Amino acid sequence: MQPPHIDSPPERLGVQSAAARATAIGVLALCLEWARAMAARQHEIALVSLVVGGVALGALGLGFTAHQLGLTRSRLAFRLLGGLVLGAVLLLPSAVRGSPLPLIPAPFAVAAVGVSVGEEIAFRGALFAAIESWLGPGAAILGSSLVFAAGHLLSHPPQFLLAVTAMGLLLAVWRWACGDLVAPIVAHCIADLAL
Amino acid sequence: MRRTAPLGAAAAVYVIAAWLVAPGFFDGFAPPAPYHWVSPPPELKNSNRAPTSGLATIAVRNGSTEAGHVFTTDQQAAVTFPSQSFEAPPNGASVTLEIKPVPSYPDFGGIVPAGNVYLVSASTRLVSPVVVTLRYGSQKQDPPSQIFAAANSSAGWKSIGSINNVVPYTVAASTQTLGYFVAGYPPAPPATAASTASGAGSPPVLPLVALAAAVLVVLAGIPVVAARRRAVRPARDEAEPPPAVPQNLGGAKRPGRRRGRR
Repeated sequence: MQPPHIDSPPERLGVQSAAARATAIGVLALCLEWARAMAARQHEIALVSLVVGGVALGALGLGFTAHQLGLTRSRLAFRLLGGLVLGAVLLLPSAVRGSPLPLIPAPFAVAAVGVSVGEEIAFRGALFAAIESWLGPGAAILGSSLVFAAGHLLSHPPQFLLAVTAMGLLLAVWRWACGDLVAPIVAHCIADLAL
Repeated sequence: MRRTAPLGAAAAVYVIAAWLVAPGFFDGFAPPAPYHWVSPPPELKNSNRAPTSGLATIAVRNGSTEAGHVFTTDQQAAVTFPSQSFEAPPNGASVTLEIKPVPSYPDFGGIVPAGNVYLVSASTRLVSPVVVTLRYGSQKQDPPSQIFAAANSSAGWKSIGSINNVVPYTVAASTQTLGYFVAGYPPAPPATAASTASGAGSPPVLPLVALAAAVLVVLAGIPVVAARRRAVRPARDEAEPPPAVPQNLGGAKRPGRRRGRR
């Protein structure tokens, strides 16, 4: 018997409303990612667009409780440690191959953290919870990873998309297995700060 | 185990997927813009944009040229020069320095280029070393380790090595002569570059890295999963209190599995 999923929404939405909510969050997250990517191509507004995009993505989690998003504070030390380990794993292939991992300039570092937090709340937080309440955890892992990869279509070369999907998958599996979004946020920030 | 095993598997899958793309990194906050090729590979012919040139005017003060740098406008090539790098014109006029992507250049003779060939020229002679930085266009091979230079169209290519460089997707090298420059791979058995592109060149490394990633993530996940389980158990017990008295007084068959009360 499957153990009860304590981080799933306590209320069972009707199938139609759950589907509508998941679809709406997915479409909104995609539109925000694409708009952010297109705006960031204009050098003058790149920084602003990144910060605004990150905040807008994070706003998608507003309809959910911290519990539903996996953002509770229980066992916070373990979850932060998990984030550090996940971050190290995200950088591991690059580190082993000896590729440079320079830190980015301070203003962009702030924007990078904003975007990372926003993306995690949108994809592994709100979208994951919405799909999970509609179709279950398996679909939530797969769906959030695929939408996350689609969100990077305009900002990444095509050959990077498989790795982006795999990264989404790893963080989504963590979200499912541990019921935790703190570690994915920490890991995503570390990875994005390393360019 | 039911939840930590997929965690390890997902970590291994990520490492393998990230290994397939240079520089072995998945996301990045500011991924590189598509490389602008002089002669694009067939699959990029439709989307390719022509690379651009760069031109700088170097001021002369007190008989010596000033320090500075010049980029191509698409930032694919740059030259950084300290003061007194160029011979100052006798009349005090400024010095011009140009970087231009070129379609014709000396024969590579076995060198495997990883981007365009750039011709760097100045209106006066170079008298002390400058640094040439070139972005490379290949994303599927390991990063090129050096820059090759040819002094003129009839000269052969020579490696000028590379220097420490923190800008990703670029190679930098110091040079004492201007001319043609390209980032690339030295003449070597072709299998080396081709096989490392897929990671097959280092078969023992990838499985080990994937295994290490899986073990790390599982170890990090175990305490969080365990804490989560402990939080679930009381909730489950609350939902299903054990029956105080036998329920099957009527002799009916027991159902195959327990059902929680709703």
